[in-house]
Amino acid sequence: MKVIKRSLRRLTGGAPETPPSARLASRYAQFQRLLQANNRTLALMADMEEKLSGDYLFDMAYIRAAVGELRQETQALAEALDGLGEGRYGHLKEAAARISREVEALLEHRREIPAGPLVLDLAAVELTQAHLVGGKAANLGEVIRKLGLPVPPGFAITTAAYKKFLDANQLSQRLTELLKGWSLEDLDTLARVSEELKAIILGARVPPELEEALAAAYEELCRRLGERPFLAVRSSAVGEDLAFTFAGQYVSFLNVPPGDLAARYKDILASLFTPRALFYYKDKGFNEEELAMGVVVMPLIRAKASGVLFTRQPEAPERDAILVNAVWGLGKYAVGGKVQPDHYLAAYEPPGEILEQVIPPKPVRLGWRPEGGEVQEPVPPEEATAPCLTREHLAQLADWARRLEEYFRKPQDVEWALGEDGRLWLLQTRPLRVQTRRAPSARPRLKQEYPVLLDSGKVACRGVGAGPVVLVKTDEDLKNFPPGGVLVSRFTSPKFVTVMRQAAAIITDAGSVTGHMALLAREFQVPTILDTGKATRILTPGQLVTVDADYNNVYDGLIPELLEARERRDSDLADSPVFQTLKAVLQKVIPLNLINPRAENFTPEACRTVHDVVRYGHEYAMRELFRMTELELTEAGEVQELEADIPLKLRLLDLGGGLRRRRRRVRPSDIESIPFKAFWQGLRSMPWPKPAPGVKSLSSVFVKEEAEVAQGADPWRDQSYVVLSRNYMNFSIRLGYHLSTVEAYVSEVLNDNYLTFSFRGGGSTPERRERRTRLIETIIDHMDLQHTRQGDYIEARLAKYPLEKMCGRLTLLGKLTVYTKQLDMALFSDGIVDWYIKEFLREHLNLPG
Amino acid sequence: MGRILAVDDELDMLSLLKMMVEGYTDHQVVVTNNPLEAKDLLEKERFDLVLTDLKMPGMDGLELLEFARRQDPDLLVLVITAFGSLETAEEAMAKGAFDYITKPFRKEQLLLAIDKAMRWRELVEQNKALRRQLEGGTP
Repeated sequence: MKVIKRSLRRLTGGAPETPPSARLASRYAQFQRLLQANNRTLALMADMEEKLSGDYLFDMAYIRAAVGELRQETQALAEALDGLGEGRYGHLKEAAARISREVEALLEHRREIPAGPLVLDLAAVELTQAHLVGGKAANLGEVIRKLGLPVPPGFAITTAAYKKFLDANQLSQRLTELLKGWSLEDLDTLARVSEELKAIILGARVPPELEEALAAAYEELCRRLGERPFLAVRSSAVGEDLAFTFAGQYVSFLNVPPGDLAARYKDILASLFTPRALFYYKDKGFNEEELAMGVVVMPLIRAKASGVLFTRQPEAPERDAILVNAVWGLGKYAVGGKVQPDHYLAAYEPPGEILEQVIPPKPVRLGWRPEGGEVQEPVPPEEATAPCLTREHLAQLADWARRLEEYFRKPQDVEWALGEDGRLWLLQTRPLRVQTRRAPSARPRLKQEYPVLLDSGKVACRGVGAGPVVLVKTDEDLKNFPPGGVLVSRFTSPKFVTVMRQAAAIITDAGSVTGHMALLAREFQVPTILDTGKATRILTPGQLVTVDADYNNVYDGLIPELLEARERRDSDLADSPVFQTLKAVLQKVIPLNLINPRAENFTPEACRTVHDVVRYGHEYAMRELFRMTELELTEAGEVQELEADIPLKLRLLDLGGGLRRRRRRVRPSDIESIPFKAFWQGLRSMPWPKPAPGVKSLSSVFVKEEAEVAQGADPWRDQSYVVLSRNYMNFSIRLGYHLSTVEAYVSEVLNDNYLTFSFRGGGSTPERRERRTRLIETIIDHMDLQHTRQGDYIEARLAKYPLEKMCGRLTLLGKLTVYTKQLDMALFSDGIVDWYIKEFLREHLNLPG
Repeated sequence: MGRILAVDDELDMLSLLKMMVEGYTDHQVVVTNNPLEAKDLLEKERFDLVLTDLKMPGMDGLELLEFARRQDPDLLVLVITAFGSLETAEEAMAKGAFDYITKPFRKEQLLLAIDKAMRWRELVEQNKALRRQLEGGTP
C-alpha cells in the first residue's frame, strides 16, 4: 500500500512533506480563483458587447480600462489553472499573454498611414483607400467609378505624401518638442503658438520627389484636357469626424496657378494646426497618424453658378425631396454667408418639380482672376434677382441625389458647379447628418391580442425573430438545423454557434446571460431568451412562434407587426472611430474557436481569442479538479467519518466550509456543503436494506449474485469518499461492481454551477449491464442531464441551472445512486427494467408511469 | 432649441456627443477639448447648458464648473464622470452642478438628462419673467 501511495505521489508531483489534504485544499482554492476570474472575464465581455449595441456612448478611456481588466483576469485564470494543474498549463499562460498583446496592439495603432504612391488618379481611387487618400477623395473615386456621375478629372495627393513631407523635414519631432516647451496659459499664447507652428510648416520644404510627382500628375491632367488649367485644391482628411472636431472646417483654394500647387499644399497641411488641435497634441504628443491629410486636385471649373445639394432636408429626412442652395460664380459664397443664396426644395418624383423656392437678390459673386486667386465681382442687376437654376438643373440634381443615396445608403451633402457651358459637375460628396427621429411611440410590452407561450426568462440578446421551433438535444440536431428555425434547447452550449447564422432565435430552459453561448448570440445578433425553465416542455417541434427578445415574450404564431417593428441600428454611431476600435477589439475577444472539448484542436495553442482562453481554462479546471480528487482521495489522511443510520460508510474530506465540526466523527446535521446536503437528502430518503447480523461490509449485502461472482472479478472494496466544501462536492462510491461519481459546484452564481455524473458498470452479464445502463440513461434524460454513453460507461453533465434546481437534481441523483445499487438483483428481464424505470419516474419525478 | 457647450479631452467623445445630441434633439452643440477655449466661449457666448467631463488632463472640470456658474448663475452644468469617481461627482453637485451621469452611458440616459435640464432652465426663465411682471405690475 505504501508503495502505491508513493508512486501516486510521484505521479501527481506532490512534495512528500505536504499533507495531501492541505494540497487538495490549496488546489481547490486555485479552482475558486479560477471561477472568479472566469466570471469576471465573461461579465466584462458581456459588458463590452453591450456597448456595441448602439445604445451607448463610450470613449477610448472605457475601452482601455476594459482591455486592461480583461488582461488581468485572463492572466489570473491561466495562472489559477496552472496552479491547479501543478505547472502543466504554462501553454495557456502563454496563449493568454499572446492574445492580450494582440488586443492591446489594436489600441495603440488606431490609424496607420498606409504605404502607397504619393499621387493617385482620382478615377483609380477606391473607397477602401480612404486611409491613403482621405474621405473626400475616396468618395469621389467611388462616384466616378461606380456611379459615372460627372466629376472633373483630377488626382489625389495621398497621406503617404503627407508622411513623406513630415519625415523629410523631421516635423513630428520638432512639433512635439516645441509643444513641450510651451505652457499654454491663455488663448493668446495658444494662438501665437499656432501661428508659429504654421510658420514652421510653411517654411519647410516639399521634398523633390513629391514635387516631381505633383508636376507629373499635372502634366498628365493637361494631356487629358488638352489645355493647361488653373486648379482647385481641396483638403481631404482621414477620419472626417475627428477632423471635423479638430479643424472645424476644410480648407480649399480655388484658381491656383500650377506653379503654386506645392505652396498651397503646405497651406493645407498648416491648416491642421488649429489652436484646438494644438491643445490636443500638447497633452498627448504630436502623432502624425492621428490626423493624416490627403488633398484633392482638380481643374478649376469656371462656374456660372455653384452651390450645395442635400439629398434630404436634415430636419425632415422622411420627406422625399432635395434641398439645393445656389449662388452666382464660385461656390465659396454658397456657404460663406456673403450673399443670401437661392433656396430650392425640389421633388424626387416628378424629378426636379419645385416644391418651394426663395430667390433673394445676389448682388455679388466670387470670380477668378486671370493671374490666379479669387475676386469678388458685382452681378448685373437683372441677373442678381434671377434664379441660378432651372427645373432641368434641379431634375438632374435630383437624379444624382437618388443615385448617391442608393449607392452610399445615407443622405449626402454634395457640392456642385454649373460650368459656363451649362454642364453640371459634382465636386464633392460626403455623408449628411440628419435628425434621427425617436420612435414615434414605444410599442407595448405585450401584444395582448396574441397568445403568449412564455413570458419568463432572461434576455441574452435583444431583437425579434420568428420561425418554426427546432428542438436541439444532440449534436446531430445541429447538423440538420434548418435555416430560419427557432432553436429550442434545455441548455446552452457553445456548439450552437455552428447554427447561429441560420437560427431566427434561441430559447433555452437554463443558462446564463453572461455565459459562453450568450456572448456568441450577441456576436451573431440572434434574438435569445435564456433560463425560461420550461421552453422545451411548452414549445413543440415545428410550431411557428414569434420570439420578442426586446420584451421577453414568446408568442404562438407569426406576428408581422412585431417583425416589422424591429429596431434599426444607429449607423452614424457605428461609423465613429471609437466604435470601430471597440469592434476590432471584440473581434479578438468574443469569437469562439474552441467549440468541442473532445476535438483535437482543443488546445492552448489553438486559442485565438480571449473567449477561447476562458473556455479552455474552465473546461480543464473541472477536469483537473475531478482528476485530482480521484487520485488523491485515497492518500488523504485527515478524513472524517459520517455516522448515519444507513449501512454506508462514508469518509469525508472537508476543503473548507463543508462541515460544521472538525471531529473524527460527524453527523448528517453537521453537513454544511450545499451540494452534498442535497445529495445526502436523496441518499437518505430511499429505503436501505438492513445488513444481516454480523455482516460489516455493504458490498456483502449487495454482491451476492452468483452470475457476478462467476465473472471472476473481485468486487471493489467498500470505499466511498466525499471531498466537499461549502459549494463543492465530489462523491465517489465504489460498490460492488459499480463505480459512480457525482461532482457538483453549486452557488448563487449561475455561471459557476455544474454537476457531472459518471457511472461505470462492470461485473455481471452483457444483457444485465445493458439493462442497467439503459435504466440510468432513461432516468437521467428525464432529469435534463446531457449525457453520452460508451459501452456501459455513462457520462452526464448539467450546468448553469439556478441553485434550487441544481439541488433538486442532486437529490434525485442521490436517490438514483441507491436505486441502481438495489436493482442489480432485478435485472433479469427488459420488462422488469421498464417497470423500474417507470416506478422511479413516477415516484421521484412525478411523471405519469 | 437650446445651445449646449460640450467639453471633454477626448475628441472621439466630443464628436459622438455632438452627433448624438444634434441628431436626436433640436439643440445646437458647440464642442471643445480646450479649457481655455471653453472659458473664452463662456465669456463671449450664451449657452443654456454645459456638458463637461470632470477628469481631463490639463483641465479641472470643477474649476470650469465654478467659472461657468460665476459667469451665469442660472447656467446649468451637467457633469460627466468616469465610472468609479462618484466622490468627485458628489463634490460637483455640492458646487452647483445640476446633475451628473457616469461614463459609459446609454444614449437615452444622456438625452433624458439634457431634456430634464432644458425643462428646468425653461421653468426658471418663466419664473423670472413672471416675477418681473408681478414686481412691475404692483404699484
